[in-house]
Amino acid sequence: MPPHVALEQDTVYALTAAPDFERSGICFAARRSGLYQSRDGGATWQYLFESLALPSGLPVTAVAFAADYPADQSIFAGVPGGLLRSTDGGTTWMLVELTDPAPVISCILLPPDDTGGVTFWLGSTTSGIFHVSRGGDEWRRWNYGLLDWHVLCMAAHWRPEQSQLYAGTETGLFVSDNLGWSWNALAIPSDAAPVSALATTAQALYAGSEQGEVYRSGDQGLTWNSLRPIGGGSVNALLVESHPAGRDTVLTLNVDGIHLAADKAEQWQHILAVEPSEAIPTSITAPLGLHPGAPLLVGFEEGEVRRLALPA
Amino acid sequence: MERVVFQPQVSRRLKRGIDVVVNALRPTIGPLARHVVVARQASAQPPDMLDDGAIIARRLIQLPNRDEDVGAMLVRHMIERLHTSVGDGTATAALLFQAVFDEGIRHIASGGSPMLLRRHLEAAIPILDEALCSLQEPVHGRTAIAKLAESICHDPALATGIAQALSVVGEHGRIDVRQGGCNDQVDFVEGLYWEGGTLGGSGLERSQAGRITLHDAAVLISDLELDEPRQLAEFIARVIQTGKQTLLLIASSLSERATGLLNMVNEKPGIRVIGAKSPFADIHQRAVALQDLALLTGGRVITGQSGQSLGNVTADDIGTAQTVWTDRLLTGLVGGGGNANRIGEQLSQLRAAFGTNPDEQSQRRLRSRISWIMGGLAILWVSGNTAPETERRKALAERTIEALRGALAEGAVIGGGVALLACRKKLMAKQDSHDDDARAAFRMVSQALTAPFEALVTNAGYEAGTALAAVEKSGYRRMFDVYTGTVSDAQVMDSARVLRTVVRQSISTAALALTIDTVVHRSAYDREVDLPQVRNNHAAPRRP
Repeated sequence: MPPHVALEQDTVYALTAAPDFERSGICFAARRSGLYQSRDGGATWQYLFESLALPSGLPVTAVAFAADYPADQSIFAGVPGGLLRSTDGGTTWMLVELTDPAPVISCILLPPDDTGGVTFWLGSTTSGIFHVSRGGDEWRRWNYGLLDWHVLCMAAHWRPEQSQLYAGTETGLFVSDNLGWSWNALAIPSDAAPVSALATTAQALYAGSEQGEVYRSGDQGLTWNSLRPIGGGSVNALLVESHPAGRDTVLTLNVDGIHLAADKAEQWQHILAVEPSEAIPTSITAPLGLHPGAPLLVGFEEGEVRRLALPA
Repeated sequence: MERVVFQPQVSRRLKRGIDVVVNALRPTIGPLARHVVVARQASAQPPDMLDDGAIIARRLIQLPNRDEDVGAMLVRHMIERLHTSVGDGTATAALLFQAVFDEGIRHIASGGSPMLLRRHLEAAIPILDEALCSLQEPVHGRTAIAKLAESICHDPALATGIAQALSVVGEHGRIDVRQGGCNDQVDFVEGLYWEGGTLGGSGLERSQAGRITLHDAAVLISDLELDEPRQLAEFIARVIQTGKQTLLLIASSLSERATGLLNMVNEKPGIRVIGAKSPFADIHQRAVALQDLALLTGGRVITGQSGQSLGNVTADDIGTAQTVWTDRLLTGLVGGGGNANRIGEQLSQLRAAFGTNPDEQSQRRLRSRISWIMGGLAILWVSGNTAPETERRKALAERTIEALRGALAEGAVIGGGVALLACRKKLMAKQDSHDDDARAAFRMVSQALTAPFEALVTNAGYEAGTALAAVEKSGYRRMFDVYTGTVSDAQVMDSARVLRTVVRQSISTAALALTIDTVVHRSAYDREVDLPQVRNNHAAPRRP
């Protein structure tokens, strides 16, 4: 850790693992003090902004890999007022400054294929959504139909014929079927907002709210079924994995810990209980999926990253 | 002195007038259409080359023979109404009208009742409407929109630009078509703006284009005449106390004293206050626009008419915006701080109102309001090799966009005249087999439905009867490709709303025209001018 970093309240805003995590153990933690990389599956961490020679910590609120990492060594990190992009796995960085006014990046949405210079999307809590070219050379803010610019999370159904992008905001959920060029509001239950977490499988869309509710839609957001987890508190993250015969495994990261449900979410397990006096879990990643015994990395408000495993 | 004309001259002369107009439009139908040249009054000017049915019809101001002119004006009026309501389909409507009218007068001449005929003809309209509804398909995505646009405007580059714009802003979004640029490019402008420039603002930094931009601004939404400097100073102090350092004052006017105060305020470090003119001169429009601004910014309208003044304004009345900008002519706003749920409700209400309001001007205003709320608009830049060509393409773009809006709302059907042909079977299946007049009427309409297809094929240089037989044998999703002269899978679509309106207006107008028995002219008798009878089957050179 760099000397200027205070270890208390170094909130872990986001965690992400490289697509080849099982072999390389590479994962990233986006913290209030900066971006950190681990090469041993989260056991130890290295500060990645040494080359920037920053006088103080630079909060990183979102992080994403290129879809074809490690062939493409691009990493994207959302920082106040812009985006840091590395093309060499985090050794050097280039700043894409987003201005007027400087946004707070809440999420980064990359398409699974690099279609050559085409866009990816940044959600921000103040300025809606930015379209950015792969190189970061061009960007524009465009929020046509996005009535709420407080974007907390994004997800997508990627399909060759027509993809759907989803944006969860403080007041509701929006969908775009033209790659973010226009948005339409989806009707969601009133306790599904603010929409703090989104996740998709091929057949379904899941939305978690700050009110602790989780909803599932099998028709791209037209209708919703409630999946009420046992625990309470805001849904800070949502992971899902689909299995044959439409049985999805759903994992929610709530204020009071981690909840897991399988087989259409009829029964929830509280696999990590967090007492009110303990630090709040703020981020999670499941690098190898959600099958029994799979590893989890959980980030906490005070800066810790714990390695856990799903129950066998 | 009145001149009264009776049958059989009425039908004969009306028909001649109708034929003049319709046959002037006939060459313009289809992808391999030809132009109609209209000579200008001043011979030194080049003639107008036109391919739009409504514009051609508009240029036919008056025929020499006044009886024939009545017929011509009937068709022209129908075309004008159609052009105003849906923006396309005028030539198709003219051909349908002519075909129904021609068969109708033959039926009447052989003893049929015009009033009964009219009733039966109008009875065919809902059947055709239902048949077209069953054929319509939704239009989604840029590719589908471009295909449909090209079938309307026959200009691939323009169709691409239009599709790019419409696929983003949608059926209710605002698209400004402007002359200039190159390659029919589309620009997207974030936020909203109105005509109403800066009030005051000297001493503030302006861009090269003369624009002042403020970020994270408080916004006063009013139609007040800001005159009293002390009241204004107190108000600005209240706003600054809320933590905002930048302020936009939307007002009717700003007096010199008030302007002087703003200049002094702007000398303070960090404080930026600018005035901008309220939108619209019309009181009603302004009130509506200010309400929309209040909704979008989360503020409240302060209006002098209800006795309010700056002294009454509290912090809760002030709206906010991420960015506001103003220049000499315009003022704009991006990222208002209004409540998203309330904005969404207003949007739904406006869309519903748009769907139920047939008035074109009201629709245009509603569209502008919707685009304000949606947060942007598209600008389509149109150019040409010459100034007249640029103007022509601009008018074509506007027409095409209007026609496409209907398609986005209500879908599209297979083009090339195929959808009308497909309606024939459904029409004849519903006819009343016991009533001779009804059967005759349905037969007339069924025959008339082939007229647009035949004209399209003939214009391309092919034999209409052969092509018709080939297409009818092939089924609904097949059409006659005028480029290859063969039947192929349908590539062209038509707006369902346009076609349904065309059918409705052409048949109902023709049915009404068939009931005309006497014509009365209200001025001095004009010498009749007999034009040679115009034939209905103008043929283009046959292809080998």
